Amino acid sequence: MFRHKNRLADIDSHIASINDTECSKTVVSPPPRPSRPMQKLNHDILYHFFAQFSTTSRYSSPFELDQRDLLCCAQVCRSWADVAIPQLWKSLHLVVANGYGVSAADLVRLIGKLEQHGAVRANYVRQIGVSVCYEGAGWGADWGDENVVWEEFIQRVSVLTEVLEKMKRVEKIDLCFKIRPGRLSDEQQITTHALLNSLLKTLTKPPRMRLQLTLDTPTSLLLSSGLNKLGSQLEYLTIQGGWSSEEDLVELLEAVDPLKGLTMERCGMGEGVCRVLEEKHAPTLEIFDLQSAPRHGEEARMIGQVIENCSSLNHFRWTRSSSCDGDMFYFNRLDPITQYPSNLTTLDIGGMSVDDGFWNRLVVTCPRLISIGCRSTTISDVGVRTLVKTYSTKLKKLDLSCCQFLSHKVLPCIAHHARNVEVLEFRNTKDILMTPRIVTSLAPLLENCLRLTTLTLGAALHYHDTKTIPHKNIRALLFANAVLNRDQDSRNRDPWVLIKYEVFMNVRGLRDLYRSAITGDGRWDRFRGVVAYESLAEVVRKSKEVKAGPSSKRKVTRGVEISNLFRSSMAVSVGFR
Amino acid sequence: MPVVLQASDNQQFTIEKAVAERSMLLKNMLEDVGEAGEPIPLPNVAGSILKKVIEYCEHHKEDPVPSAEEDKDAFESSRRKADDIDEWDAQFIKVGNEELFEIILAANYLDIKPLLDLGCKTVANMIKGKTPEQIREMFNIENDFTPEEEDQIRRENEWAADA
Repeated sequence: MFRHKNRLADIDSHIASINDTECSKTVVSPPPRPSRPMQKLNHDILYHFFAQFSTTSRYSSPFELDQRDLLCCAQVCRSWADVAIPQLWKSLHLVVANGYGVSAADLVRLIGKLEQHGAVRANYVRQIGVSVCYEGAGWGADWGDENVVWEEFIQRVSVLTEVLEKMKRVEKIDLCFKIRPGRLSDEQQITTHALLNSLLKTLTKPPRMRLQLTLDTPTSLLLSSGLNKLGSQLEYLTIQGGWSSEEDLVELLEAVDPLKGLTMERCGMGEGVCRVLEEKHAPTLEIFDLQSAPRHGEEARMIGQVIENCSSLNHFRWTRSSSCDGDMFYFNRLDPITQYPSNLTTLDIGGMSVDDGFWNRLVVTCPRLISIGCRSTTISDVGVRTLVKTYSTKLKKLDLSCCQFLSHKVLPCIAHHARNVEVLEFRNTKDILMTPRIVTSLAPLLENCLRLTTLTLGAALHYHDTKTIPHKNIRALLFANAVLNRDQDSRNRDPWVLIKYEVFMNVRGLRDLYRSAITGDGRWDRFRGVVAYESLAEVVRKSKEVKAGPSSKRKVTRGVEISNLFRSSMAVSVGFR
Repeated sequence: MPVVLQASDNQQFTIEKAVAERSMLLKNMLEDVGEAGEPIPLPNVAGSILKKVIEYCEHHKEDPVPSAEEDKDAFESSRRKADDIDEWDAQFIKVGNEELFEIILAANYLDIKPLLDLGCKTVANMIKGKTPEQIREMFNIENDFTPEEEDQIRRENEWAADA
């Protein structure tokens, strides 16, 4: 009956001979201890892990880590805590404003945290972003008794100054100072500038500093005394000078040492301003950003002279305000750029009227361009071909929004040459968007430009109801986008909110769908991908038919079919959720 | 001239010089001692892992070498693109946790920065959104905190996480 009866008999006899002491021993050996490969990793590698977290900026701070993930890592074990905690405190962003941001009590608690453990934590802080914002009555909000609001605000700013004094090893500061007094007295307004000066005094230690300053009141006299003390520490300055006078700007620009980066938004560019720029700042400027700056007449000519002297420039933007969209700039003030060899990597000349010859000269003098903004320019197909052929795989960003002289024929050319392009924008570029070929042209772009992460098509800015969107292909793309966003986004954002504002293709998702169709392995997400891919492929096929179609009636019919296809693929996708 | 690499388990791999030079360690070694033709011993890397590393280097042998300037700002640039992993790389790095960490260690030892970045990005993406307990479970990490200490870490540092 038993195949191993001899063995069982041996076991029986052995059991009889076992004494009580032996019975108390564990017979089963413990399972082998699982290996802990993570523990082999040293602090350098752990640091590298934590450095990979993407930014999740809530205040547009350029240097904010995904702090919540880091906090979780700090709680994993001692070894991780040693590396994650300094990273966690490395960058802070503080917003002090009336109505929102941190309270005075919060800031006092922060001082307590910074001072714990012998102020070690304060020494972890290397970069800090500070926004000091006050909007008085009459600037879009009514705060009741403004004197009370102001007092509370002043109290918070003085605690903020104390906080900054604790951080002795800060290397980089981004200070945004926006004060828009409402019904405050002149005396109270002067305290605004006293406050700024007080803050600036605490910032004289850092070796590098980027200051973003908003000038809303023409009282820079007090500001310039504070800026003077910063010397060469101030590298980058942003002036939003809608309400500043020529004298204010001149005084401010004279008060600071030669800058590396200067952004001027809505600033008048009179003779005095241009003279200071040309003589003092132009030779050191690497970033020069003129937003909503004058673009014609004498002021534009003087800006041209400033550019001539910017020998170190690598980032240049000269764009107009949206309020003067119809006012095309016909005088070519950009000649300096095309006359001298330049290290420019980023050029944005939105709204310029430039001929094809400009682009031919540009590619010769600026061989290092990787980002080109041509929004609302008169660039033609020839100009785009010149750019993409010359810069080819170096090109990372190309903005062709609102370029009314472009046709859909540039799309295959871009797909062929600019294979490493990451951002492509065609907002309101009508000939591209209003042809059925846009859908057909998507395929080569997605197939060839493997680094493409953003493809913006625009054109649906104010259509709250998708039924009113005029073009069927755009509707189809909207639905495709809705599918992709529902699939991709675990937070389940409402696709209708997204499409209300603009057509924004999720390129990564769309490309994944293409690949899923080829390598589909039967998983749910793959399956959904295939469903959507098939719809997209169908759209491409039908678009080709439309291209060959004999009548406009047939085109409309096809368009409805296309949008229905996407509608159904969205329904299928949602159904599986 | 081909280069011969010898793993810790004495397995030998003959590879092109261009492939070997993806590793800064090997590149410097070859520049310093010349091409002697002798196998280069790599006592910290097992044969199976070295094979994977060579596969990666062969695939990327045409890639441009990152400049010193890019290296300087590597922290900033790499963290912005944690989820930006090439399709081939994504397939390549689909391995078990133990092998993944061995690849990271080998990349660190051989000084192959793109591979180190790839490994770290993969781990970072695994960590994202997880609780401390889930992270410990995933990587089999021993919790050497007392509950009080763990709570203290959270309380003392959550200000920075929210700031």
